[in-house]
Amino acid sequence: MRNGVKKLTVCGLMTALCLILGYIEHLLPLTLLIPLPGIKLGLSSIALLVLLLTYGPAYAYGVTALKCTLSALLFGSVTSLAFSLTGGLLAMTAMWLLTVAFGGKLSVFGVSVAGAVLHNVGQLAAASVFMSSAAVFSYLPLLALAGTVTGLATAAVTSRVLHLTGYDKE
Amino acid sequence: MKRIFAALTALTLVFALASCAENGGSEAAGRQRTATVFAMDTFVTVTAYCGDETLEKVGRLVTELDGRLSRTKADSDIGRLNASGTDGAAVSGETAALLKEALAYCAESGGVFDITVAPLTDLWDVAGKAAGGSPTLPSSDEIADAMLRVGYEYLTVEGSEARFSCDGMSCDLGGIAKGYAADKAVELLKADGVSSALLQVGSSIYVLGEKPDGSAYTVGVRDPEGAASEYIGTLPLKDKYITSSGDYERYFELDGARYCHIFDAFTGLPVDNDLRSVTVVTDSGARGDYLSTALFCLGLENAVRMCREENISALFITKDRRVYTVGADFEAFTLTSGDYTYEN
Amino acid sequence: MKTKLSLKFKARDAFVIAAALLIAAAVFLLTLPKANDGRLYAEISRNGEVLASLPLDADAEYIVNGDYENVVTIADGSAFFSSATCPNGDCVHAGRLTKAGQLAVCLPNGVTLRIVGAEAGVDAIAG
Repeated sequence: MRNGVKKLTVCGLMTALCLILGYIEHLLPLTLLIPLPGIKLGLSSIALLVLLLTYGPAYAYGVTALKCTLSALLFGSVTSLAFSLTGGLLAMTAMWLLTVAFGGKLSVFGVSVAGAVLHNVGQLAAASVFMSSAAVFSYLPLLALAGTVTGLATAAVTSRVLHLTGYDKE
Repeated sequence: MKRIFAALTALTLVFALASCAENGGSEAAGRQRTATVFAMDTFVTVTAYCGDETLEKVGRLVTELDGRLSRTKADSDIGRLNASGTDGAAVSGETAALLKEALAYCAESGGVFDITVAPLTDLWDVAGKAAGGSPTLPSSDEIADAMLRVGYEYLTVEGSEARFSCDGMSCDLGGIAKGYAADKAVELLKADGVSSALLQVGSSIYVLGEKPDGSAYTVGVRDPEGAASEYIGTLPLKDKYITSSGDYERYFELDGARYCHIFDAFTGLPVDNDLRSVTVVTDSGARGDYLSTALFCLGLENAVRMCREENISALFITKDRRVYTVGADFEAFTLTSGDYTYEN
Repeated sequence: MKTKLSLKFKARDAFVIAAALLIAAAVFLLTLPKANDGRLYAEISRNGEVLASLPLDADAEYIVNGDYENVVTIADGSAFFSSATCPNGDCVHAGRLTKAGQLAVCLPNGVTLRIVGAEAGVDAIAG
């Protein structure tokens, strides 16, 4: 019971953290540097990956859904909710499956890259449905490259955070 | 491991940056440039491998010519001539020369091509009706009255003075002005050392040289029944002018009949024969414009005969969707549309 | 958690990165526009419906209305979103498009601006 309350509290904090990280990105959009729609650092994926690895998929999925819904309510619109939910859930699924299937062989880096790239794929899929046009997929090569880079960057932070929590000690 | 990771990251970054630079970066010098000017009732587009300065010069040239030759501008040479009644008007040397050239074409065609059909054009106002005006037909009296004021023989040019010898006449160089403008623009491009260009004046094209990769420019011949982007076949060209006349450019319809913007100077009626369009390939733009109009007025049989006698390269599209070609410049023509039959 | 992920980069991670790059390369090759020396057109569509196809060589301005308003400007052989009332303005940041196959989108308004080549095979059409 006690453990449950603690987990719920951490999840609440993590959701808030995700929103703050998302807001920081919203204030300093990467699109100013690289004009590509949908490109972003994906800072909140740090919190989500930490959550997935420490509390498991159920909590991670919950926070992903909450974070997408709340950030759409706060900063975005219905369409941005559809995009970020598709991207977020697809990314989470990729990271979860990779952890389960190849957990012993991969590190947070590989998992994070897969999550970042699949996040972009999900967003583009949502965009192509929304715009009734597959033309947006011509952005995929650049977004996949960008996802690889941002995935590695966030993985570096995630690795440090997990080390501090003692994840690698038990 | 760290090294591989670092190398991969660096590689990814380089790729990402290179892709961005390719998309957002500036073009290499000497790229293909295009300029468009709106003049002469249409648009003039030059696509060339040259500097912006040359393109600007072409733009100015066409605008100037338009200012001198336009019938709708009251202060142009032609505007003043048309307003002068039988008093005559002094025109620029260039306009006088072009008027003489046009009158020679009128005579060559035996009056089939006539630069003084303006009273008929105005009476029918095909352009206005095509643009949504109510389609009505002029009475035969009105047509007969307008015909009295048509006849290139009643226009004379001496030195730099042009004069009508009959009241109420008007002349319109619109029939050859585009081709003439193309000729002048090509002269200018050549003088500036441009060896490869595609010059479009409305739907007429002058092909200068070859593409920089050595291949020929390929021009499509417009499908008279399709949209402006559809063509019935293709033709490689080099240093030639290609233009078409047809009943699809401007027309209005009434009771199932089509009335086009090209007039038969002998009947006073819009041309209506077995042809949908005529396309000619010539060295000179002005002559090309004249020939395409005259051949269209003649009808298939007479037009083909004239082409054979005078060594003209032309392509004819008939109302029953047959395509005929005459002359050396159409030997490389390829029919690409399945809707037409190629007769030869 | 039963499985624990390594916090240090492992050799197998390179496979994930390679897969991502492979997908990027494959999609890039698939969407590579065909070389075309003909006229280029800016194709403006909203929610999959083509609204306009404007030649890049004629300066023009096209306003797309919808949930928001985007202004597409065609100038100097390029097409771009010159202004927009959408919340993030990503479409305006996308910059100028000049080559066949290039694309800029405004997701909030569902607008795509794409450069397409002339129909095929010819450099110009006479008639």
